[in-house]
Amino acid sequence: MIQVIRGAARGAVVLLATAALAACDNEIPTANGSDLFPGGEVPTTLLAEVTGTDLILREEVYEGFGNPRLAPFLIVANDFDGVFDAHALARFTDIPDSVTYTSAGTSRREEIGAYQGGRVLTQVDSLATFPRSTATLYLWELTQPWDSATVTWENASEQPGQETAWTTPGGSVGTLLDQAFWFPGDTAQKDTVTWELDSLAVVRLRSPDHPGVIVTSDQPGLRVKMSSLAFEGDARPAGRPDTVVPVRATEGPQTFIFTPEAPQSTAVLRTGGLTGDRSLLTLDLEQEVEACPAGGGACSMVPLSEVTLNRAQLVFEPVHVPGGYRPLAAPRVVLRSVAEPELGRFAPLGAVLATDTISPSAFAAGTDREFELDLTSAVLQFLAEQERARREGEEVETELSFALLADFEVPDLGLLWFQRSPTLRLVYTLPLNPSLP
Amino acid sequence: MTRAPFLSRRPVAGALLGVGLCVASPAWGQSLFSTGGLGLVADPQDARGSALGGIGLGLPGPEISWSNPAGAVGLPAAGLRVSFQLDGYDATFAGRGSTGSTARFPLILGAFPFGSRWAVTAGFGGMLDQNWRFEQLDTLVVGTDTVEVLDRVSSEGGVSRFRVGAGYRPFGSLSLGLGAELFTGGARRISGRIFPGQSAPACCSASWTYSGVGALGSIDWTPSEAVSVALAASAGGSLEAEVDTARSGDDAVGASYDLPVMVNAAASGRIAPNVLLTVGGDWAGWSTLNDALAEQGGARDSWSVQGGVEVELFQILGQPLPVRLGGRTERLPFRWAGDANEWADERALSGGTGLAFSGGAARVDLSVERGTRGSESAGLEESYWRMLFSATVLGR
Repeated sequence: MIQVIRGAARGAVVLLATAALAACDNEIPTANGSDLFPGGEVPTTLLAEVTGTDLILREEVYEGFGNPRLAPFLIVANDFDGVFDAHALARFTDIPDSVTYTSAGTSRREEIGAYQGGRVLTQVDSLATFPRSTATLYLWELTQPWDSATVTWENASEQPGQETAWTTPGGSVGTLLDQAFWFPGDTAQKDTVTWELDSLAVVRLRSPDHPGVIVTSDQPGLRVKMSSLAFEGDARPAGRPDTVVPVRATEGPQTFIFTPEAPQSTAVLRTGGLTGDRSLLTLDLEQEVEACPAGGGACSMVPLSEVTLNRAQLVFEPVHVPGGYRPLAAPRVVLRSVAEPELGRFAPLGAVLATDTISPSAFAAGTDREFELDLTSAVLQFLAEQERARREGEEVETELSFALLADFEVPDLGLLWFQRSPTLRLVYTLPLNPSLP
Repeated sequence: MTRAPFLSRRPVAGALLGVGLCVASPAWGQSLFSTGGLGLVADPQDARGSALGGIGLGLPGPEISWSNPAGAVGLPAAGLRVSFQLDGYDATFAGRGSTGSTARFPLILGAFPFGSRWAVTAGFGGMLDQNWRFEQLDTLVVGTDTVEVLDRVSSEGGVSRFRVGAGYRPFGSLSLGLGAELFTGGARRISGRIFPGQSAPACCSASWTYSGVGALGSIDWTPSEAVSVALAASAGGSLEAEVDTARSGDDAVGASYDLPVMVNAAASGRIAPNVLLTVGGDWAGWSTLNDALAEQGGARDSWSVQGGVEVELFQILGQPLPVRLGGRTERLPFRWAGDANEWADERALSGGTGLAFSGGAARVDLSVERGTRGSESAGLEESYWRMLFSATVLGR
């Protein structure tokens, strides 16, 4: 009997304990209506915008973080935005003299007796090409040697003491090798452009003294971004002239020449472009904001740290980029913290504070739009750090420094220009004081 | 004198741990009336008393009663009573509606007899439910963007009581009880605006911890085998709300409330071998807080009258299966949403049953209550369902 009683008792308490742990979740009775809020007090959210010298302590532009000759892409343009021209140059230095092939299950290496023909290929970056319609591209033989380290639109070489001008600015064009088309969206071609070469052209290109090829277009308003050129040849081994073996060559100098040079302006904040421009800004975050209760009453100015910051945006005004240097692909604008802004162009970059994608059309002529970069997390973190420093009696930092950078998915020619003195837009809510009855 | 053995420790410890997790942190929410005054006054009940209209003492024989430590005198063994409550409400106010449900443990109480003349009780019970939330959706225009925000004022928490009592039987049918109670719990209030991506307002909150002590006394009298009468009273002293500075803003202030005298009285009579009638009443002098709560609409004395009948019609496993019916009318002490509204009352009908096991060493009771609170003139009308399960175990 005692066992029965103990079993019942234990069973009951175990059931209750299980129910206890399972049933702790509750719904809080909720009523809708601000008329029910104690004292009729509803949160007040306000907007403040700060700009100019009230906000900007430092605003500097630096360039030279990139080298156009090391750009991992080529540009061909003709009268883009009415001014910009560019041609792509390439020289293939590794067109093979021998070939390896398999015959009757045996791998053999032989001299190349001849090339039946070949082709030059490239891949167009459709997102960074304008217009996105069929483009005609010409492949020519160059008639003049060029120096890959110093070649420009005007000069084939700018080596000190050996300056040699192109006989025709933009490259001395010889024989037209082929014309090819880029069809955007063509699923068979898949953005690949192919120029066919006959056997004689390949023979010429194999010559060590050959100056190489140049790609141009005569289509007005065109700017094409493409990958490096590659040579593909149809080689016939000396011992098996009836066999065609494909070979490939990509080695050799490649670059593009352009005119005009990238525009300069001291009136704007710059980032991106061939020289990897960046702007350095320092904001004064020791701001006071207006506190005007929604229900009326006197307004006052209170430190930013005494309100609830709901949103902080840095509002930029994009500026039309002249000279055909506006971006065509959508870049990301990135703000990266800078701990030692006094080092100027050598200031090391820190963590990403904010980033967002900007439409390239913002930099076209005739557009007038704002670009809002969300800085909420960064400013909240900054205020929290200020609060911690105050609490621990440390020196309180009031300045936030960062670099304004452009980040293209693939490095790009496009420059981003913004008006100086961006605006800090703050959305904040005045504090309430919860109390017991 | 023989000393009654205590409950086996391991299962009791498990039950106390599980139940304590819920009871010790009063996260309830039974009614929108919890927004008025100091909250919704919660009376720790067991399912048998609830089925009989809400009676909490004065039932025949020794009992484990929250209000009446004297009632535990004469228990054959140490016992534990735990109640588990499910609530669901449906409220309308000013053309708007609100529904909600909750589950909680309103009562956990142990009783430990020492011989036939002494007993000690100890347990947790709820007192004031302060869980509520007011919300309002709004739209802000920020620059060129439209932002949907949610304004929220919320309160979470409440007051619980830890109560210990001792009963003594100086005469054959009369027992006296004395006890003390410790007020515990806390409240957290948040007022602010929730922006997209947030789950709660970034500002502002304040937390308080409740403390205070009170005293209680009770008389339990069984003039005959058929009749039982009990009277209990408690005097609260003051409830102190101390600011939890680590979780509050600099402007948060504490509070102190003089808790009222509360009186419970009830009687039961067996008018036939299988029929028990009960009647009871409660009164609490909440009007002492009228001035302190003036901004919330003040406070008035509350009372409640309960009646019920228990009929043993059936048997299962050789044990009677009683049918219980009861009713209650009650005057609530606090108004809804300020003094523009009339005072509110509560009425309820209830029913239930119970079953004893192992010769009475364990008992499970169930009650179902359907009631209404408030009225149109009170600004809030609320109907509710409540189910209460109680388990009572006696150890050998």
